[in-house]
Amino acid sequence: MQDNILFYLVFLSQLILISYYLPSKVLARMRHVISRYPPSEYPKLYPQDVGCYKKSHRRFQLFNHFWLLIGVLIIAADAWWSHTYGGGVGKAFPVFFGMFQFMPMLWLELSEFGQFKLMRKSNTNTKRTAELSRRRLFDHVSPALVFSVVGLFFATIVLDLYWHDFTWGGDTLVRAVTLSLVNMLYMLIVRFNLHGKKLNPHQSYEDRSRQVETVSRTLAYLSIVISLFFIYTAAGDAYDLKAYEHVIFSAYFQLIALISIGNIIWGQPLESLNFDVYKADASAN
Amino acid sequence: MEIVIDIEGATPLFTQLMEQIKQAVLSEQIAPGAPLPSIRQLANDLDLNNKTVAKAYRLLERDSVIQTKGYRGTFVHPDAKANCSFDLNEWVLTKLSKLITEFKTSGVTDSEIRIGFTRVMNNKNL
Repeated sequence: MQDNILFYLVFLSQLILISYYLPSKVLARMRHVISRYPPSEYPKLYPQDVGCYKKSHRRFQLFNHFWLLIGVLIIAADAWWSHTYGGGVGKAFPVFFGMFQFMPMLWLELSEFGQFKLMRKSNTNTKRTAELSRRRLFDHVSPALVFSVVGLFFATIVLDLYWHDFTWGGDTLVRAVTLSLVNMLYMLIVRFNLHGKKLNPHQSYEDRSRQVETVSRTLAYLSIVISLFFIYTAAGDAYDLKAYEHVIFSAYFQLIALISIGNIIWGQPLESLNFDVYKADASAN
Repeated sequence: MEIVIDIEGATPLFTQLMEQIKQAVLSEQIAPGAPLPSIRQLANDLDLNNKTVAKAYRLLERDSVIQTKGYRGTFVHPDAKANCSFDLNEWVLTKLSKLITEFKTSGVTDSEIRIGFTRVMNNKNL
């Protein structure tokens, strides 16, 4: 019973964090941008009518509230079910549900690509600018952090193999492949941020550098957390550490959310961004 | 050091790029040995075709203004400042003018010079 109460509390905190607290911070940030940098003064920031943004903000809020409600209903139903019949939701449920909770944020990210496309389309400036300096990974993240990521990646695979007598069993192989794919994806994202196409045509060089720094640091921390989580699951298999697994899974997902969304909210304060490039008379891109 | 390219300007894009890099070297805004952005980075930042930037880099390398060190990337040539002062186009014009004046004093007509020039330029063995 105590285990269940602890699980409900941690799962409730996951619901509140991912579907209420962080989205409300993101929403407040977006609303602040509209009020502080209005379309009349910063027209290049709004390739669409401002009403469209307000509508999508409401949709984002509703989408998050929907998952929050579903989550609370699931907790209530599970409490009733386990009280009446025993049992309950599966151990991986918080992670499974967390993926749905991330959908509004994913939708927001994808719609941002659409906004940048519209910005590029409506950009009539014939002058293009670039800084004549090379962007390098170690100018944005410390080598120690990158080596920690690489070290933990190999440590995870070696420890997993060590605990499973150096045989590539089903779970060991799945974890190694998943970890490799996730890290490869992160490397591609960092590479795209460093050398890839400038999605926002008006973004200043300093803002681009800051973006590279935030993205690289966030992905490095995420990779470390994922490696540590995989070490925990491998150890869990080897030493039968199944108690509080639900709680650990949920805490892991909350940490992932805090790092990924939190780094955007707190890692890139609006005051540090150059909004002058969105003014009507700003000639430089 | 910021590069500004006018995509609707009369000067070809690769020439604008070359001129500005040379200008940056001459005004010492970039020092000899300084790393330059990769072709891909610069092309993506300026929203240009990779081939345009590659052409500018190739011509700058020919003029010994920049040098490529394999996988380590492209750097400003140690003698870039001296090499920037040398204008290859001006040198070609001076040489050709001298030669054409010599032909004309020898009595060669304009059309004979043109035909000869075209034949030499079309000679694939050159």
